[in-house]
Amino acid sequence: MTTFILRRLVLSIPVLVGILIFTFSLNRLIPGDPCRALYGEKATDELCDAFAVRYGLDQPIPTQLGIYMLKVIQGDFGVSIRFGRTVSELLVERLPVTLELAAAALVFATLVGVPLGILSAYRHNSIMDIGGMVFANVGVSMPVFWLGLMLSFLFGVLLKDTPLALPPTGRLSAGANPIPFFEAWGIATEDSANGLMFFISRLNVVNAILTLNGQLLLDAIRHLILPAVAVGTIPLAIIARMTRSSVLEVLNQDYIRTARAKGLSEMKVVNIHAVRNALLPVVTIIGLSFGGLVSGAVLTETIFGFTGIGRTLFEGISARDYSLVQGVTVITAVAFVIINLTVDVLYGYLDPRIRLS
Amino acid sequence: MQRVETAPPISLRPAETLAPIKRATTFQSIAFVVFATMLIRIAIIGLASLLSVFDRSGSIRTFIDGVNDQFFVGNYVIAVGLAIYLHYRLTRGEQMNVLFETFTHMLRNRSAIIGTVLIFFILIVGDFAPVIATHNPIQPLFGTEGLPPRPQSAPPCIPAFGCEYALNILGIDLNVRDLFSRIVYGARTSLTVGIASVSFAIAIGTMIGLVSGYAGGWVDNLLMMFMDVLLAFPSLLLAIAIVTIQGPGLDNALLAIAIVSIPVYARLTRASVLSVKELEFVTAERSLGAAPGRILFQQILPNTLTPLIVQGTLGIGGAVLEAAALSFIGLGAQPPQPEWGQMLSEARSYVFSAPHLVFFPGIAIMITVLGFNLLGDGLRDALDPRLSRR
Repeated sequence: MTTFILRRLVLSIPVLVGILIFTFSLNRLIPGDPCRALYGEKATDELCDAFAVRYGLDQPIPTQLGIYMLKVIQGDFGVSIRFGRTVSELLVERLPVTLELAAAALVFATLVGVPLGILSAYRHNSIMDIGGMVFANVGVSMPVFWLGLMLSFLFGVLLKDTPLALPPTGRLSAGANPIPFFEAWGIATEDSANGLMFFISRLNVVNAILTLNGQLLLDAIRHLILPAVAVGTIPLAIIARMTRSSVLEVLNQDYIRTARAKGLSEMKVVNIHAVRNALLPVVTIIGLSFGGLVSGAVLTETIFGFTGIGRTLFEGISARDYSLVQGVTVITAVAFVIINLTVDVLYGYLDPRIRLS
Repeated sequence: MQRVETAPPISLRPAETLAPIKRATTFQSIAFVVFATMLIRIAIIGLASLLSVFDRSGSIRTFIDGVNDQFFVGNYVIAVGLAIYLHYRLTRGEQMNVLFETFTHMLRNRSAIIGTVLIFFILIVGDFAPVIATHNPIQPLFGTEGLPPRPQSAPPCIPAFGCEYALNILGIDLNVRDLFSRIVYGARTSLTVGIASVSFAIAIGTMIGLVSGYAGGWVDNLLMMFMDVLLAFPSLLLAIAIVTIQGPGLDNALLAIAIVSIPVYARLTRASVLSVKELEFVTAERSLGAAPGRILFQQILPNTLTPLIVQGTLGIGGAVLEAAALSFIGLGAQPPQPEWGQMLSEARSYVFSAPHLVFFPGIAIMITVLGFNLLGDGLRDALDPRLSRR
């Protein structure tokens, strides 16, 4: 198992290096001078020269690349020209927003998608099956942002005065003032807290649990529901279809017949014998849907008024903020690689045949 | 995947074991002609987009629109003519061809039928937009006959909820334009972008896959490493990054989507090449002294087409979605061009006061994407039972 993990780790290094080179060259190809984009009319030659020296833009490109890669390995993405703060700081502040949204969407997709797929497969060709698969097909064909807009209209306007009403914008209700858990616990103050603490405290749901604030938790979850449903629908549909076909395949195998023949209850046959084996490919799909989740979150964040990395990315792009765009792209790509790696390892753990081949 | 043509061993077998002669029914023939017309029409758009590379003067979309407008009747004459000719070729004689039999399998597939109907519908709507649309999609309706004189303000509204300033069932948009006409013209844009970007991606991806799979060694490693790097990004983020560099616009969005989806086709082709290239008929060709180019294009490429067609069909749906997403965030189509994603983008702040402006373009996107997804699934089931997920 260790060799397997090590081999997978080594194999992902070239990809990581490739990602760094690629994002670096991509950002250097952006037309327009960042200095002039930032200062506009006020940009003089002297100012821009000083600017170039300060941000290392006067160095030859290969040197810039080398410096950039060394820095990224140390977790330093440089200073955001647009915000005047370090990119790492911005990422610590805004990545949790997107992460929380993506995680909520994934939870929704898995909790609904897997049972839906199992039921569809078990009642093969029934109304339930056909309905489920029609839903899955429609689900993958909807634009995420459209679904988000429609949901916010439905629950924010049409159902406004019913108990089903959900808030269509924001992460918390106006006036809610969450206390970061490190302050509530008295282990650190706003100034002395480290990045990890900030990161965790920005996850509203986690922070509310850590500070044992039930009302805040409920509020945070209520605000998460609509965006999570919007972002999670496409992964849900994919997961449901994958689960269905995978369970269908397993249900036709000999050992299932054997299990039935020896008189096991239908519950046991399906839950213990069939589903456990069928869920292997589903794990892969869940891992692979991360890319879709991030893309979805980027598109949906702005609709629901979340200040996550999607919003940050647009601001960075319009200001030609190299470091910021690089930081966001690299972090997402690296996260993607890590998640794929985890899925691979998990898969190898679940299915010994893969590890050995 | 490999389809080896064998002569029907009629003379060697006793008569009673012969398969019954299959003739195409009238329904099958009509369905085939309709289906083939649709595919050929799509292929013409794809071909036009590839040819636009040689046209240095204009943009990709202008070129395709030019082909559409100038040869509009010709497009359909060619498509229908070719379809009928194909039908004749495939059913000539008593026995129907393998390809035609595959088609009859597909006819039993519910999703393929629904998908075909949806795509054909959108294709017709897009192609006949000038006839179907009742108004100019870009001009405001002010001063149009039958409307009250210009009011102080004409908010977006829809007849269903009382709207005197609308001539059509879908109402008017923020700039007092006819929403129905805009959606009809949007079909054209979305289809063109989807088909063109997939054509580019397939053209380049197939080349990379063929070279990589056939050459092997360091060429293969290098190319696949590059593809892995491209695949490591969430596709929309990469597309956003590329359009940012090129500058916003529908052509650049189209190219960005194409670049992002190249790895999919490259890997698919490479996998097929690897499985085909060691087969006997390729070895035989090689031992006869055929040049690599000949082997690649005449022996290997035809055998890799099936997964490419399936993936390409699914890919068009994905491309339409991504194009809409890019337009939605302002990187794709620019106003006042009628494009569904762009229409959603314009209307997003008015979702609470004028939800119809958001609802209908979204439905249009959904129908298009659903059509290609269903057809892709159906094609996969019919063409390649091995890949079937059912």
